Amino acid sequence: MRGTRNKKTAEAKLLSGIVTRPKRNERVDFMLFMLVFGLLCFGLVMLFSASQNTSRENIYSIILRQLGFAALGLAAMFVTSRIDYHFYKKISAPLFWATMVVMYVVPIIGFASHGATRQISLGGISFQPSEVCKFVLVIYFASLLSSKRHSDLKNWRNVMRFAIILGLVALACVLQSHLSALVLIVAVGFVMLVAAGLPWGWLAGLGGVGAVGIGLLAFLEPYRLRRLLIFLDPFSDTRGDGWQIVNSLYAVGSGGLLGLGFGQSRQKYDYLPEAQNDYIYAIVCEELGFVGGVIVLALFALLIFRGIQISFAAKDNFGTLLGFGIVSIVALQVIVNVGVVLSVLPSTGMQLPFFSSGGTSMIIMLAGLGILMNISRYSTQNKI
Amino acid sequence: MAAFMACFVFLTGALVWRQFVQGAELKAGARLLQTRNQKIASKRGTIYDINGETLASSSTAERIYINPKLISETEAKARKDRDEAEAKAKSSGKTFIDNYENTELTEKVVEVLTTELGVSEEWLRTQLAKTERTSVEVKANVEKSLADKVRKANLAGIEFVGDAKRSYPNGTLAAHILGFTGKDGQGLEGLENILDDELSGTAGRVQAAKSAGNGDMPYKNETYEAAKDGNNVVLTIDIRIQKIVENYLQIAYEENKLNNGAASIVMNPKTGEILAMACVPSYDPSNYSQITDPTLLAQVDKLVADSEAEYDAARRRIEAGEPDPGDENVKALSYEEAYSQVLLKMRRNKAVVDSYEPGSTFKTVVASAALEEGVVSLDDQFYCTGSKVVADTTIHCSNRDGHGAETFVDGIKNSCNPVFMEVGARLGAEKFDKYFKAFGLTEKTNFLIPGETAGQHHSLEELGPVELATSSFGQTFTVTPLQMVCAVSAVVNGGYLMEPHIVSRYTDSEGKTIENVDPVIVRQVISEETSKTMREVLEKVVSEGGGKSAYVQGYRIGGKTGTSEKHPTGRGLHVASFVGFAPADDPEIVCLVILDEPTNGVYYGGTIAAPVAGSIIADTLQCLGYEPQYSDEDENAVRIVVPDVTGKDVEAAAEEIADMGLRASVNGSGAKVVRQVPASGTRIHSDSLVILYTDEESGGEETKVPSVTGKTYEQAAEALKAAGLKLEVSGQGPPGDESTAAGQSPMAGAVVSQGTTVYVTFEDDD
Repeated sequence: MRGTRNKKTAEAKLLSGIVTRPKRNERVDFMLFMLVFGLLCFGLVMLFSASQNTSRENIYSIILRQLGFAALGLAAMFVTSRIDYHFYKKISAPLFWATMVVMYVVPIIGFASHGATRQISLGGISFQPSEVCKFVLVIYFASLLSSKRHSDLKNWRNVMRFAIILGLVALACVLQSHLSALVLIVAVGFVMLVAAGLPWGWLAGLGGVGAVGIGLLAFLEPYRLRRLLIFLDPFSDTRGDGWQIVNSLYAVGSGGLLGLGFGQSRQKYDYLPEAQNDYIYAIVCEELGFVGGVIVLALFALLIFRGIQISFAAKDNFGTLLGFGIVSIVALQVIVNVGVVLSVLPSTGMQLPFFSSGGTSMIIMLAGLGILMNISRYSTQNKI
Repeated sequence: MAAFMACFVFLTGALVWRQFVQGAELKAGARLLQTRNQKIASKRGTIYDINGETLASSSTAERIYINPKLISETEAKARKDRDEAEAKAKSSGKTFIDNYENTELTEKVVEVLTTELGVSEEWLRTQLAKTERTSVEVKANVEKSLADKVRKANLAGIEFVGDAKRSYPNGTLAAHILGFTGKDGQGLEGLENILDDELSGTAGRVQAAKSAGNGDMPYKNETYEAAKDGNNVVLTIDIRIQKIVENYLQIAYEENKLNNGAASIVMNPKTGEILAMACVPSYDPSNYSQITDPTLLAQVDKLVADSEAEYDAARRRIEAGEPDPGDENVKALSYEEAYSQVLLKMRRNKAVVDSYEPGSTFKTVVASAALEEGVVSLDDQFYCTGSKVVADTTIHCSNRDGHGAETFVDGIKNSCNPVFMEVGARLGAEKFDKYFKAFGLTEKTNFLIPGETAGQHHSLEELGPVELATSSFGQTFTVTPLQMVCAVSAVVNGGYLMEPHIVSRYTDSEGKTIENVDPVIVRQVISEETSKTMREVLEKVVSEGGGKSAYVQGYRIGGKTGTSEKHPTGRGLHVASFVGFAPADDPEIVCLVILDEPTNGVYYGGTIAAPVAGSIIADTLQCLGYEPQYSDEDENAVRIVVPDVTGKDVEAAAEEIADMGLRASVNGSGAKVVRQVPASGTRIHSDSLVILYTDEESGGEETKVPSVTGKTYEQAAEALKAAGLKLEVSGQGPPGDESTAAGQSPMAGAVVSQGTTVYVTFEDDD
């Protein structure tokens, strides 16, 4: 059933004026791959430096683990880049609901870390379902938005469907006390809906609901509100809530144009908490200065630019929406992470793709980009 | 897409903002957070006399402190970190490598400090247990090399402070020149103050990177800026001459019961080099907040009593309903206020800061001007009736009977006021004013003592006939002793006004000369010829005239006496002075002696100041290698070497002194002489006074001073009482309950007479 409909959609798209008949390209988009690989290498090198202090017993402990994850991630990327992405459309609904079950089970069976329960243990390896959930949501949204039945966003019933799905995911994140995932997932959902033509009125309404939700949460748990607002004046409480931001700014500010030199960060020595994780970009700026910081931003910007180009050149709507969703995940993570490091956004705990340490996020991110690469194989243009 | 790109542009903007606009500020904040700063004290330069004798020096010692709070906290944190890491390693099944620093910090501190500094382990552990404290002194006066060893151990919580202790090996000698330094080694008074920049050098620092837990970063981006030690200052002062001057001045001070102290300057008239500059009563620069001179202490009491009387009188007037204006504001001085007033007076360098009426010594200047201008010649005839009427005002001569007929030379020898009134009139106001200025009497001499003044004088407009007349014999205007010495030097050195200077050269910390201070001729005031004439006339003043008391056989001394009544007149307060120079034909020294407010009956400069100056000049010339021109027998006849009578019975001592043709004056009621002024070996005139001090109460038994360091006031008082000694609290304010004795003078172990006062300084224990 669905296969037929897919063909029709493809046919329709073909007829709507695209020049050549889409066929599978032999290679994934080279530029995309190089950007991903380059960022991965850059990220790993920086992680090695940033983790010097945390991995005190053995300076290689964190980087070796992360190299393992990167290898697994590259393997996953290789696999996903070869799986026809239409496969995900077929399994999108069961995949989503299965993930939701896991998401709701996490607070019950997961283990706590940093005062939040968002990880589960699978055979000794901890695993963070919310990382997977982002991509599953993107797949599900892309699938729904590319189907005739649900794609008409002028129909409020359809919009409510998406709102309920988003709400379900958001609730799961709240139960996991996972603010960054909540923000990201809701934001990615928005972005996809807007890209799919959601009327602005809805967007405002949904945005309002989201804002009220976040506000409510902040008021119910005042520590979150304080953490949320401290970025406006971190120096008001340098030793308390502002400590992390202040030290992040100290690191960035110490960098200047060319930085202190690779490995020469001082802030990573217990001053900047999570130097190898959420705040690794601050270490990049401290060690490599403005030049390093801008290179990282530029590489990500190029990756996003290229990703969006690929998405829009996809042979079908599903491909476009799926690719765009994946790119949005990367973009939003980078923007929020860097924004937090530079203290222009409230502190959330967002990771920087390819740089921050973390197994699930690394593997899933690379796998997700593998999907984007697969989309590039089916590009409507040989050369974009 | 555009939205994403806009976000990236915004983030780049934020990056620019944080790294460039706020960069410097953030970098500074980070540096402050990341580094452990240690100041390396620079060594303050030494002050030497012209022959390289040390007048003031600083030790290179350091004080070492521990910070028990920091040590315990650092250790606790390190242990917690280690335990956490161990637990984590255990749970994940990894081998735990214990490379955590500072987990045994206390033990390391104890080990280093006991082995390197030899402090008692028990004491150290007691101190380390007081973890609420942040600073406990472990040892003071630690040699730099030793301190470096401790520094090398690089343990958190051991702190070093450069010991700013300044020592003045000659005690009170030249105190008014040297001044003193404050607690942190900053110069507060005298040369210490005015040459502070030169002497203090630049502190260095060690900036070591530290992690948030106070541990070290593996990359030790440590910067070391060596301290630049201060420069040394070599003075023109000759310690031997300074001693001579202070010795004689002290005698004069005590003999004449000077109410307002005395000052003296010995200067080389050819170069302007100050060879000695003394003020009495003096003080100890290492104990500059203490008055020991009995006259000054009595003045404190008098100040308090006077102010209380004034206050009472004002009260009475107010109660009687007839208040004088300002009575409401009259307040009685507290003892502390009076004490600090007198303290300030004590520290003031009279020779540079206080101005006085020079009296007849100023006739040297007027005579030079008149001879230079040719308005008078040496043989001009004058007649003194004992007074002179100037513009309806009768002004008396010091000899009210009159000197009768006399030449100008006689007028100088007799210090005849009418002669000088006449000569002043012949000069006229304009010329008088011109020379007054030319001799540098209206301006500061550019001298390196804080607070130099220039005196007050009549401006040309104010200089009417009466003012001119009185000014011509040195009254109704004031100059500083230093200005006077310079003016008289110009009179006798060939006519050149020299800039006085007290620094001979500056050397760096290695002793290499950085800068030599060369003599500066301000201007030529009179001709070589006039100057030669003045030398001859002034030599006659000493050999034949009013300055006879300054005559010392074997030396050619010239000079002029001076006695002035202090304003407002009628109080019987005088300044007796004498300015002399020698050798008279080619002066090497000019010496001014000022005795302020003598209260022992005699106040004439010729009587009391001239002999002091004569003695100073004679001894100084001898010191400079000018042998007197007579045989040894003669010398013994006229110049008596003071014998050493300390430790002898008072009666025997007095007899011995009387036998030598000197006078003995006994101070105190004890049986034994503990101190004498002048010291043994001093050469003085026959019939001069030797003051013998005895201890007051005891029978002269000697006792050993016990150590009171660390004791409370009560304990210290008891310990000293048991030894037959008295306790006097040194420094300001009474000791609190928490205070313990930190220093004492005389030192523990010194043998002193019973009844001696031991000065003890107390410091708060925390």
